Amino acid sequence: MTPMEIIVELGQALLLIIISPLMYGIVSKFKALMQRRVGSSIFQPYRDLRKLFSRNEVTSRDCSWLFRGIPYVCMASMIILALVVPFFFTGVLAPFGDLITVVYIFTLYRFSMVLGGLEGGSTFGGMGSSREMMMSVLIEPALLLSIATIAVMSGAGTDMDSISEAIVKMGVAALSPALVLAAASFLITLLAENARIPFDNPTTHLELTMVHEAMILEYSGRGLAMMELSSMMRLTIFMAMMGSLFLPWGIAYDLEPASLLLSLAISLVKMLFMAFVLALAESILCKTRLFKTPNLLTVSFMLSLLAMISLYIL
Amino acid sequence: MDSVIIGNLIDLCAVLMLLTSVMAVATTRMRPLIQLFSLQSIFLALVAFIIAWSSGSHHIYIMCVLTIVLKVIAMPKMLTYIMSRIHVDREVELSIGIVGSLLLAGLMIILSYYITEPLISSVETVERNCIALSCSMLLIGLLMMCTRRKAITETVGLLMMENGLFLGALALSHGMPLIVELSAFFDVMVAIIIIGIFAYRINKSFNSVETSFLRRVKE
Amino acid sequence: MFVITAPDGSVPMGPDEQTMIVAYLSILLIPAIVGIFLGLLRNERFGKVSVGLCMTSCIAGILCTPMYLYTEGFSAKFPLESFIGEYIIFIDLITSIFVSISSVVFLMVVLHMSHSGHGYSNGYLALTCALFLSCVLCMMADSVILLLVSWEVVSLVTFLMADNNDLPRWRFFMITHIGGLVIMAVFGYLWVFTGTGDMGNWHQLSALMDDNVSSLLILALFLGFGTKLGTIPFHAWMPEMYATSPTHTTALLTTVCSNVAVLILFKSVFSWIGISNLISVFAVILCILSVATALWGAMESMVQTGPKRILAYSSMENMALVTMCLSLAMLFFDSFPALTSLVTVAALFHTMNHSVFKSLMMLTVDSIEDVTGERTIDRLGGIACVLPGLSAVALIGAMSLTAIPPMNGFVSEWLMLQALIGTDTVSSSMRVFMPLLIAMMGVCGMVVATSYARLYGFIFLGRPRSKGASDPRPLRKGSLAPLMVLALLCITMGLLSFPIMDGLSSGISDITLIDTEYRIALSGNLEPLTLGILLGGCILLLFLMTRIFRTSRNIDETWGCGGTLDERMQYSSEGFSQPIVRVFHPIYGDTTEKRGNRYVTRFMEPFVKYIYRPIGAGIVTLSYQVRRLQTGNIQSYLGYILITLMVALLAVRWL
Repeated sequence: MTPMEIIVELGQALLLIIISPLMYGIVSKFKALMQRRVGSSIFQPYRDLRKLFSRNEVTSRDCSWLFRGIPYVCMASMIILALVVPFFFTGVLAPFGDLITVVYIFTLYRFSMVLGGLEGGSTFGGMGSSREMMMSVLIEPALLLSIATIAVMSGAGTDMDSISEAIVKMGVAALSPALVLAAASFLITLLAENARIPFDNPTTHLELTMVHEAMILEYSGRGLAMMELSSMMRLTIFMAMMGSLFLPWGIAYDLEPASLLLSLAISLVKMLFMAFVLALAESILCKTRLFKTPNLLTVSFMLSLLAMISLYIL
Repeated sequence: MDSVIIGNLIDLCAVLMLLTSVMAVATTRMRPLIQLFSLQSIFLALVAFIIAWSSGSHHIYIMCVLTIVLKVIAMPKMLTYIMSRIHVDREVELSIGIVGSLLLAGLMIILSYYITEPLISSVETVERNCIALSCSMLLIGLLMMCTRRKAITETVGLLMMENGLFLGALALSHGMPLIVELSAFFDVMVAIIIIGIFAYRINKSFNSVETSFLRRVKE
Repeated sequence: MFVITAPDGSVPMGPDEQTMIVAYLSILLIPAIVGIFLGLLRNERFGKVSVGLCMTSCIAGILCTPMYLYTEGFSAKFPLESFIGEYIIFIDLITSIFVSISSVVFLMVVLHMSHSGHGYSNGYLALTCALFLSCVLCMMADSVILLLVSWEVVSLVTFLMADNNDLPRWRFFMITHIGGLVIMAVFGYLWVFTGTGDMGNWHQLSALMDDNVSSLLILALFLGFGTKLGTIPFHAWMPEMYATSPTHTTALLTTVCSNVAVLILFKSVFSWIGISNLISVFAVILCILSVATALWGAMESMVQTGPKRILAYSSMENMALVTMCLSLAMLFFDSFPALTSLVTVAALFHTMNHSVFKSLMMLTVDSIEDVTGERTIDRLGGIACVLPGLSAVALIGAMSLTAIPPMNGFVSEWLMLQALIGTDTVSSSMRVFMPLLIAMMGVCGMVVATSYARLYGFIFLGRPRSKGASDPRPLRKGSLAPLMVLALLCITMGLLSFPIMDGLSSGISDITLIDTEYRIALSGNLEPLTLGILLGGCILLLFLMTRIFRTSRNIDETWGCGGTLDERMQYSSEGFSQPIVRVFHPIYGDTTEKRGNRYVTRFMEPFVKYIYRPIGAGIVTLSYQVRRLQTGNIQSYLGYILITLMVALLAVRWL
């Protein structure tokens, strides 16, 4: 591993972290435009985060040491994912850029967030935690299967830095049903994991619909800022995974400045496109009832199962 | 044209056909169900078109056109007409729930792969991959007919089964002889008309098209 | 005293080594034996001595792996003779690793036991010594008689150690003895077949047998040991037995005894009996059974309210994953040796991990019961504020069980998933089931995560739900130390998993005779150490960064929509699992009824209702029928004897 590679990889991780509030802002801007509103600036999330970081914290007297530690754990797990997920360059920093590990780091994030929801003993936290776990039970098989499909299809195994390259080098043959179905399943998983609209409404604080917001209700000030930032990073990382694993065309796999620049541009366009798709989905769909979400998640599971099976059939 | 692309395209259309079948299992309302059926027929027509184009056998073009005319346009229209005549839109409930039937559908896909596996290795056309898909579409159509209660949704199940059958025939032997295909289309057409009339009659006599009411006929 | 031979028997060992081994075996076995007899005496002081002796034996047990590395394996013949064979032990690498890890766990449990406030009687302590002795001998056993006797003693001793309940332990007794009978029958058959009880002479017997017979034997062994591991439908004893017997008994039963069962199962399948060509059918059956067990265990563990019942069902799930891996190993044995070694490494490593984190959780639960006096998670909460140390070690245990990186549970699940994804290359008819297994792993993993988030959250977090929880007694002195050791072990076994797995793999290849490296079958790479350091470093860095720009922190009440929250105004554990219960309603078959002003959801064990109760009722009816024979008339009894005699004579004539 040359120093140049390390610099590029660190750079891509840093970029991923920096643009994550921006992606949030862009999605809400798109949404606002689709609803014929002007909407707030796309830099609004940065301002919110800055304000939260400088505020004093208020914690409940029933919260233990764990509550104060959870924001750090959530942030750290997302930073590690930013390091290992390829964005515009296939090489990833750590030698453990492994897809299964990525799934389990998401579990770490979720587990700590769920424990944070149970802290303090408010009525909302427990509700959010229990709903989050219900959805994750149904998300997890679909996520694992779509990832396994990619791993098997590309023939590169679960090693993240070689998957995108392998798929690009497959040429037209990569455009198989398996990839399309797995990508569709991953898209639904993305919506569900990031508490987006058919599953959860990120902008509401109504107890009938809250899932993600209920879990972080007790945080304030700096803790809340870290939780918000890490959930924005989760969305961006999912989008980066979607872009670099399921639509990897254009990604750079060598260290030439020209191809790196081109790949950076293409990756940003991909992110914008995905933000648009996300905003579109959120504008035309409505939040489903909690006990209707299993139907959609089962569809996602079926898609990934079909993807995996079509690998064998075809 | 590159045979890889042709193969990929055929596979993609066939998988999308299967996908529409799976989606149909998860749909409880009738209008989307009929739309799904016509979508599936479009994909079937596409498969037929690609096969006709790549192999140069002209009678498949005829089948493609027939599919578009009858299955994409005529039959959905007819079903919608029947639906509006008897004023039903929503399937009240499935007998095993959406999640359950989706999982069952998944099981059927795996089963049909397992069953057709020796068959696939013995055929050598580009389209041989569709055999497993068509078999699972058959099974899923039958599953739909088992789990649905309304006569019209059962009809859609039957039609989807039929689509699967056509896909299988296309894949195995580039389609059946033209006369057989024509008569098959005719059969289905007649079946729909008869079912439509029956549904209308059933509705008139029982005020519902739930086929579970037909149990009373026995007594 | 002992007759020591090298593993292959040909090379004689040096006198130094011989003395060393004899000394080692004496330190391993004699203190425990003395401990048994001391425990029989009434004096309380002897009890303490017997605990000390048991710990000495445990420490000797930990040294088993160094002993193996020093001697490279040995077998020893006991100075005991019986008319049915000799008592031989044999130590190879895999056995030594298992003995070591089990001894560590045993030592920690005994340490915790000696510091707990239960005041166990001397008899209980004697039984602990006996359990250690029988477990170690059973793992090392190399002759049929020793194996069967020590396995039977394990069952009996655990039965006796569950001393304050009746129905559950008799249920346990019945079920494990049926399993024991099956095991006995299998080993008896093999003995008759080979004509020797010395298992050193048993190598891959399936080559000499009919395929059907050897496969049936393996199936029977799986079911026989499955009674101990909780394979459905033999798990009926587990939750009740775990919930009502002393926690230390449960901790030993679920960890050390499971280790014994898995080790013997592994050795007998892959070394003694061997894989036949026909096994794939049976392996698929076993695989399906294991998957069903895993799902059922995970699902049920999520709705229980007693912490020990939660742990019982999760043990079921973990052991089912292990048996699933073993059955997959049988499936791949012929065609994909690398995958076989991968899944066996996964299975055995998971067994070891399970014994560490499950004992940690069991001991935590015992400490919680001790300080609060509460036995359901519905009446706990907020312990993390008062006992931060205990909550920290318990968190590590819960995270290991949930397979969160970089703990040890994660590494073994990672291996299992790698194996399943790697199956793509395997024969085409089998691989179609692999997606289902992957999905199953996902569902199980998440349900278990829910169940442990619930267990941990409702014990340690939130507001106290009862008086005991709001004002717990201080922790007993020294009772945290064993927990800390186990927690440390969870982390180190995760961080240093690959060296451990390399050791396991070479031990496995000694037994299965597969010389393919398991790493070949891996399709990704994992460096838990780097991952752990990076994760820890990141957290530390973030923490330091926030220290620099400090803001003040105010303490206030939990937000309660403007009102004040009373103790019942927080989520209940029943409510926490309710969404999943509703989604999986057809599987749970739960019924909800209104009682007063609250709704109660009831769960039933379908296996008890539909299998055990009918069988029990059938037996009772049958016995009533048999009772009619008992007329009390002496003539009729003589008549029975006459009929029996005639039948017996006829049988002799015909056979």
